[in-house]
Amino acid sequence: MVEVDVSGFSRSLSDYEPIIGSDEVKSIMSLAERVRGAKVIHVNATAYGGGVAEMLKSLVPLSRSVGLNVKWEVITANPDFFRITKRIHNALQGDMGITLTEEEVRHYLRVARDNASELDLDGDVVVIHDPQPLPMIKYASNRRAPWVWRCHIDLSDPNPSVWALLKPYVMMYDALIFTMESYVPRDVKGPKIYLRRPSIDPLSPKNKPLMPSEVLKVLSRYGVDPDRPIVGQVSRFDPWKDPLGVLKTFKLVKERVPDAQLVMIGAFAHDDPEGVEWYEKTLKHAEGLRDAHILTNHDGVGDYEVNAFQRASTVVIQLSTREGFCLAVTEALWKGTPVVATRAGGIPLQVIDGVTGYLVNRRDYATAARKVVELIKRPWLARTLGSNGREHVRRNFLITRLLRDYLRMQIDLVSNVASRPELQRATVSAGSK
Amino acid sequence: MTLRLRDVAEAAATVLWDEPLLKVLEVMVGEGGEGPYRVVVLARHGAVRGLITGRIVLEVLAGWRASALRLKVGLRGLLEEPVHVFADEVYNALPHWLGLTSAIRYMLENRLGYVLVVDEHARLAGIVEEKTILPYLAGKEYGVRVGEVMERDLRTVTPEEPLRAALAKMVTHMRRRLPVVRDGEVRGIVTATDILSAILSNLGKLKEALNRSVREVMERNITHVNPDEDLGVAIRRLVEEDVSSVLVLSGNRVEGIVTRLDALLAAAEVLGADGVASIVEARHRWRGEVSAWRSGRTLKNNEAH
Repeated sequence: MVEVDVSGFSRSLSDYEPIIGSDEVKSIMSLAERVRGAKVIHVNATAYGGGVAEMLKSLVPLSRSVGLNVKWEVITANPDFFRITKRIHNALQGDMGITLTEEEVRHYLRVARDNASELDLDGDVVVIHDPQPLPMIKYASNRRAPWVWRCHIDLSDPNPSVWALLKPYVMMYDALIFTMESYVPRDVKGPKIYLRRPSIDPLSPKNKPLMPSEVLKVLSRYGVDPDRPIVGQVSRFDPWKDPLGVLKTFKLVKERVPDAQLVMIGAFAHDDPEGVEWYEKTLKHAEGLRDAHILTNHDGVGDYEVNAFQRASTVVIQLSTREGFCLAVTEALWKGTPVVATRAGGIPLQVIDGVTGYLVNRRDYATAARKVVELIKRPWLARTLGSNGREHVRRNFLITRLLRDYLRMQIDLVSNVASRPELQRATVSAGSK
Repeated sequence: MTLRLRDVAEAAATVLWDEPLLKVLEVMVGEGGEGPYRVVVLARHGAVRGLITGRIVLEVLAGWRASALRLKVGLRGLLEEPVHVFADEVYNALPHWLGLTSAIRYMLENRLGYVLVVDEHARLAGIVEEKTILPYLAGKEYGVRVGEVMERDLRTVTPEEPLRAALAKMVTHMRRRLPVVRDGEVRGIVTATDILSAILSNLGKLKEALNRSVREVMERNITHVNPDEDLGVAIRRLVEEDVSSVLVLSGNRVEGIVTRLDALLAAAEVLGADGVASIVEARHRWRGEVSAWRSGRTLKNNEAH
């Protein structure tokens, strides 16, 4: 297990005051006082790529800035393990054709056991993210802190055989966090259940304000013309994100708007072995398709460049067939870019049809293309929807909300308040207000 | 003119973020035990700071939430803690100018029982809930049997069980109401508000309050429908009786339950979200015209006199 160094992402709650207001800052501080000094350990599968790593990159330093002692650990495993956990992920999202072999199960559990033996157990709350490190709870010796499983994916209709394998581990947790009530499996009864929406950090390199000159520089570096319409998409290369559907839609858009450009960006995450395969498949399907820019972190596209492309896009599309929440949509909306997206997972919470963007049915490429064209041809409409989207994110999906949610959960769960003088002091002083 | 959220939003029950949890309990129980299930937590300048539901309060009282804090300050102390410690974040805040059709579609797409309506400064302007919309949908036939839309996965209690058991079932199974059943026959219904009310009336003696039997607090007048009746009948009962659910009975046996949200989602299945929105728009206008006509007539009568 490797501890992630987030010292480069230093944050203070006061940095957010211009966005959320001083009153909000005060309220967060008053919650933080109650758990000041509490040690919280987050464990996930990757330090780079995907929404979970993205969120932790901000949540960890922000939590530290309000007085919590937070560690972020990433499990160590070989590529075989991630091939297995990707299959588990797909099965949990509803791929009924997957059956794990005995050897795969053994490998999955072995990695959990090995990592658990390295885990620093001296915490007040341990938060395990997603299925990869899930079984670690079984192998954690001398477990005295509450353990929480944060499931970022939709478990409403899982593959029964894979769910049967995982469920006993899920039931060992003290609390579970899901994105939406409908994601909670009906047969999970026992652990506390929290419903928490993910969120974005408006000050991270991916979301902070950029000067137009900075955006232009990025576009020029990748040969994207700033004077022609840009259709953007930021996602892992993954079958659930339907990258081939994005290409089909773009082809239809091109028929109506010949000068449109597509910028598809994906990062190869450490825990996603399917990424390369789907990237190559996407490239193959894009052969001969003019103005399609398919870029990855291997092309030097990092958070800053993603930020620039999302800002420069005339419209962002997201055609996922299954989703957890989809922070790429949140990011685009925050930048005032309207989104055309499928009715999948948490997307309809963000895209209010006709207000912050347009919703389309899964695999309905013709409608998606029509909506994209509409937004390209009516800049005033794109501007209005984009501005509504930014406000919707400001009201509902900023990281300071997530921080408050986590603080409340820690107040709920930190059980050794009385035994730790620094926590006791904090609680007493806040309580005597 | 398009109907906006602000045109139909209702006043929401509110508390300030630093008011004690006890205040929420009092608001929820209300006069005669008929207070709101959702209470909005506000900052002093009116911005939305969170939402607290009957379920959250039950979870706190059952020791599911804030258990560590309870160990430290005890139950009485817990009730004195500021409410924002227990509230949930609000993720469904929509601007007051939003078209009603968009808002209804948003609620239905996401299966939400409510949205909060806020102004440009994120200050609360009202709430739109299932119960705001359902009255507009009453008096229609839907061509769908109640038995097709009811929730069948029931949790029940017996009249003899203590309230503590009912509380545990509500918290564990995330329910806010339980049919009371004995020998296979329904005897009543017990809701989160009934339990909160019992606790509030016996503050300081939580153990005693929770040892009372379900029979003592349950509602005996059950609002019910039978599984073969049309969905419209269930909606009418929900509206006319102003209850949050109707039991579905075959004779005296409970077959299922239909909550306000179940009914709204089922109606939307039939009418489509746009269909629901256009009925609300049309009926809202009609009501407005009737009331304008009435007040005009009253004015004329007054002038005549």
